[in-house]
Amino acid sequence: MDVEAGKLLGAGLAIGLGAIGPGVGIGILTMGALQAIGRNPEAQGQIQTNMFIGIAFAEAVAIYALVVALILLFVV
Amino acid sequence: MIVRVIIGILVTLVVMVVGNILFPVPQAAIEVAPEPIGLGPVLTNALFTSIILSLILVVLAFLIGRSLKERPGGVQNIVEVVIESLDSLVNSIAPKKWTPTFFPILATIFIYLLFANWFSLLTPLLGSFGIVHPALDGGIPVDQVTFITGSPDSLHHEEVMEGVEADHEAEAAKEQLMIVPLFRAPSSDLNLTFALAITTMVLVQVFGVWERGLAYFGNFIRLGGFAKKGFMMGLIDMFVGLLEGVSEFAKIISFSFRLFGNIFAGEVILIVISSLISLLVVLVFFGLEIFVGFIQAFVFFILSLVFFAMATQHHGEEH
Repeated sequence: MDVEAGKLLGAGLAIGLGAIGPGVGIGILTMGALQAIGRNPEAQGQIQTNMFIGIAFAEAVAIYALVVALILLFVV
Repeated sequence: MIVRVIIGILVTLVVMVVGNILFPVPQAAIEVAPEPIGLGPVLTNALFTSIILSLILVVLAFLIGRSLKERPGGVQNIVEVVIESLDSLVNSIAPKKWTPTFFPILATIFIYLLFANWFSLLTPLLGSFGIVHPALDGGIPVDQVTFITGSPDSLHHEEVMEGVEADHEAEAAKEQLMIVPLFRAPSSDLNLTFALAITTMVLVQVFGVWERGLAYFGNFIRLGGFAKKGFMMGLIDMFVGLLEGVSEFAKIISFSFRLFGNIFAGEVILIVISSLISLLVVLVFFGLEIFVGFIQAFVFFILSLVFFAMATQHHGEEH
């Protein structure tokens, strides 16, 4: 396997595997937020804001994977 | 009424199909780095677009701000709704004392980012306007492009004039001619998002020191635990402080790459889909990108707001 193929494979695996965890995390977060809104619709605004913050933090992990993939593709 | 709508849809479909056959879409170049548009190495297409966008926003804000009426109508209504909802959000999270300082910064970030993100919706259209360059490693090869105003031959005039022998070289040079897009969504350029992230995180430190003085750095250098809680707990406390310090830098990276990654990936999706099927399917992704652009601007806004608020809150004073 030449180096180029290794890079492509590595980049694909990095973002692909790295997106699993955040995907599950965002799903759980949204589930919790929706249940909370269902029980207490008046608090929707605050729950939504906190949900977005949580999603952003969960997503940050996927972003680190993206950074690694981009570095593998374009820098190394 | 319904007949008109159906006729309209049919006409649009026919135009799209015929247009797709007559002017096939070339596979657009996907460039991570913004390309210089030929006026020095600094002025890239993303920077050019962001300057234009800033000018438009400044002029709009000036015009709207000058013609405020007692009874709002039209544009003023929309602007008031946006500003008021942002203001109430800032008020609900930040300490009362700091809202007048936070609000202008955060609202500017939100409004600028919103339009910068939505600019990526125009990439399939505006990305097709470009400047022909002789030798750059980015862009779309000229021979794939349908229209060129002016003559691309004039760019390598000399080679052609040198005679038959240089003809082959001229042919090679012609293949290397690239079109560099003149416009590019500002937030699909890592430089802009990184600059915004650094500015925000530096502001977080500034506000923290402003509000709490040097005690703010007690967040990062926690040595008080050794005396109060014993050696082991003190050690743990110190490492927690160090981790806080590291996470300030990690925030810069996640801030900038979150925005860049989302907008850039959206742009790539739009480009790829519209070169695969340039029919109605693209519209779905345009809808998705409108949503993503708004959400990412909002996330940047709300996260900077939360970090600002956290830096100016007095906590852990009892230690």
